[in-house]
Amino acid sequence: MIYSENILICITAPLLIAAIFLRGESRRFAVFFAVGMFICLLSAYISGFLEYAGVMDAKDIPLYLSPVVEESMKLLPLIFVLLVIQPPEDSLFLGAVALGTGFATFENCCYILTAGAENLAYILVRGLAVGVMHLVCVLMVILGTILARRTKTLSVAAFVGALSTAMCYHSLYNLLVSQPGVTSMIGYVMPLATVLVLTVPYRSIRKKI
Amino acid sequence: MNGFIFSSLTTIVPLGVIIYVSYRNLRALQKKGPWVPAVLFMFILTIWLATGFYWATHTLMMEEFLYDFSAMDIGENGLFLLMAALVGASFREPLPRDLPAFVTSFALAMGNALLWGVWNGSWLRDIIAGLFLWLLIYTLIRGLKQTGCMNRSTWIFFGVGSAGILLLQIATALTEGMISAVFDFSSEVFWFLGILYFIVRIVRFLREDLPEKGAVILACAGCTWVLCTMYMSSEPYYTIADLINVFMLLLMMLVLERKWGESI
Repeated sequence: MIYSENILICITAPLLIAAIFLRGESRRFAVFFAVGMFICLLSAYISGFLEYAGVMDAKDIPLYLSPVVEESMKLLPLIFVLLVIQPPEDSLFLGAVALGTGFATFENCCYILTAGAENLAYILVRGLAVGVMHLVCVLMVILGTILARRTKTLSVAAFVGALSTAMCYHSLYNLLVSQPGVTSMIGYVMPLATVLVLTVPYRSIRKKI
Repeated sequence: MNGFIFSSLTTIVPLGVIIYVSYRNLRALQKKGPWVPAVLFMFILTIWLATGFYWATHTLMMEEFLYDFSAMDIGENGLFLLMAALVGASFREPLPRDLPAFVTSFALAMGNALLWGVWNGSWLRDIIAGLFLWLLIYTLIRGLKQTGCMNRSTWIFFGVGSAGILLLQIATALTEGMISAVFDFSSEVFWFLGILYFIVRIVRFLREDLPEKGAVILACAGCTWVLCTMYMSSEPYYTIADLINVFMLLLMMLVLERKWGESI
């Protein structure tokens, strides 16, 4: 049993106080990072509730429901910012990166407190696999959001389609790492491989935008 | 053993081709710069890869059934949405509303969805998928009309063919044995004639360098037709359509490369 709410308060308090002294993009990053952690906690509540309500077996929740819940929850603050503040694309992108990183960080913190941090190799895998996976998923969603803003027809379809892609990717990762062996190794490598594959075209495309 | 090797090959080979198409699309994005339909196509390929690997992994790892609304269903519905968005993004202006297209696409999509329901019993899942398919077919019909890339006789062929397929599939579901197989085979003839039409049109566009302004829409329509063929077919037609679908994605990539940056 860990007290996740207490951990959240402990980690986000300095961040939020620091945000008072920060300006512009740095402040946005700090706030979204904290929001990402809060969203992680809310997602855990919802998944826990669904497990308690008996919607699925406990072992099936991470495979089938958690990806849907987590990706949808990560989207909510981004939609709020998009509709209320209507920031430029760069700010939206920065916010999404901070949100995904915050989500992954809090999830890793809770995991380490539950399972221990003795095994460095496993901790590295945890950081580079789950952490990066959340980042990749949130980047997919934000890219879909930016595309939807640029599309005159069926922008909602582009947006929901991108969200579906993130959900599928997350589900595939959870499925691969659910059992030890070769599949889990493939699962652990998948997020980092995706980032490596996407880095080169991403840099080139960003220059041309 | 031979069956296992065959099913593994029919899973791995398409995934390999899709990885190649994704690589080619990424390179084109890198060289030619971002273009919304191409980025949406990248999403389509990603969702295709993710669901393909998911299906393969799930089959290997788990003996249990897949829940309704699992990643496979989310992926399939997302695919319909992304394809519709790709068609929409190919036009400079929003597509005009069209009541006849709205009604006929609804009839076609729901006819498909109800037949899926008869086959697998997951009515809610299939009706929801049918609604997304409706949006895709409605967008495609409007797009094809807007570009004028299909003549009157072709519209009649696809209209009559689609209605005929639905009737033949209903007959297949209601009958048994040899008669059922004959009805099923007849509907497959229609499906595969439609596929042949789209492949011939797209290959002609690519080989003869035709000034076809609706080539991207035609490629999307071809992909959708093959998808519908897959979802309405049993083995061995399903596997054949699955392999053709990978070829269609490759053709679509080539069409996008040719039409890069052009809006209709």
